[in-house]
Amino acid sequence: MPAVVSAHCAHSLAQEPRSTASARLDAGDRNSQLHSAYKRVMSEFHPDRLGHKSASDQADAASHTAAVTHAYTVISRPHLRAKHLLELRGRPLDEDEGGDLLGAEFLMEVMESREAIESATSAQMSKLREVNARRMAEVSAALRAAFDEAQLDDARRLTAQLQYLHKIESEINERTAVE
Amino acid sequence: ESHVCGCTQHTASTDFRLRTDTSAEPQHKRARVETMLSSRLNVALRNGLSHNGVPAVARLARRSYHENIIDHYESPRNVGSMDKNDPNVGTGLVGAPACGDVMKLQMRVGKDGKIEEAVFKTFGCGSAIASSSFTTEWLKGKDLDECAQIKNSVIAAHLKLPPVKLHCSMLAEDAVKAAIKDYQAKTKKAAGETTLEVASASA
Repeated sequence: MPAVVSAHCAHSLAQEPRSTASARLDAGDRNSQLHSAYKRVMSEFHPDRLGHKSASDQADAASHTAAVTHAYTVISRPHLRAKHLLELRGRPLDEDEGGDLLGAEFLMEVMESREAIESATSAQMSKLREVNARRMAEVSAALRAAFDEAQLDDARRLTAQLQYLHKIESEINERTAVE
Repeated sequence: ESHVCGCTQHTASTDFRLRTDTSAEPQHKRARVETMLSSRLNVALRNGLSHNGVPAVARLARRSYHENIIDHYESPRNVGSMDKNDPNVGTGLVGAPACGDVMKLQMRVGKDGKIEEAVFKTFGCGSAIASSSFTTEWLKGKDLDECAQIKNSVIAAHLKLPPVKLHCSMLAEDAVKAAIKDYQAKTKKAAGETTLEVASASA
């Protein structure tokens, strides 16, 4: 396992524009590696630990750690990571993208899932969560292949799909939390 | 929990049952409206705004959401579903990948060629729901050519949508165009089949 981020790296990482920060912090998709790296960087630079430094040093540290936290957030969430990778490769998802990218069939499934969530019992909700998690894993795997093979049209379509599936997951979480 | 009102943060949904079911659902819907509004109030409290003795909280809430949009969100018109296989029904199903929201808009064309009824189902933020609600009202009584003239700017102007929510009105415009396309494809197909029948009958 590579020594992913040294203190020096972290400092220079935080100074890079956000778009490239995640490429540097990339620790593959091993979440535990990523999380360890993140914690290491944060412990070096967290403002709470730099009380002995000057006010301006602390302010710098605060904005550096904010940038690192943002990078960590984007990398650790597949739907954000995919969107970010598209941006890096010059093929971002536009806000104006309508249904053409995904087709009526996929949107219909999303609609049905959202409707099912509306009226689901807790048992049904667990099942919905399971099914959705599986779909997300499938799409993530296909996305990995698409990016590896530079199939960016596929990557865009799959990334869009992932946004919808993530939204379904959020909805399920929100409703189970409310109970 | 406070958060800025944006498509990715707030969700609301419309389901025909919400209107008629007097059990937990209306409270749930109410809670969502309150969540949407309360985040703005939290921002106001945090920023400590105050002006002319008017409670900043009330003033900000009034300023943030125009009454038209609150009206369409709290009392959405025409929530529902039509049979998409009905030859007189056009169905438009559109999505916004950025926020993972979906909007279905359906319209029934009457014998006079004008829209006799329109319904919608939208999973999305308040602006998306209000946009589709307003649009279904707007469509009624218009013929297809007039419907095709729909502009998201008209929807946005009526609802006083802020710039960050303009894409919600765009989604409604796309939904109408998709519904028209669907209806026209059906009509063409039906006409084609009729021609075939006529042709084979005379053969």
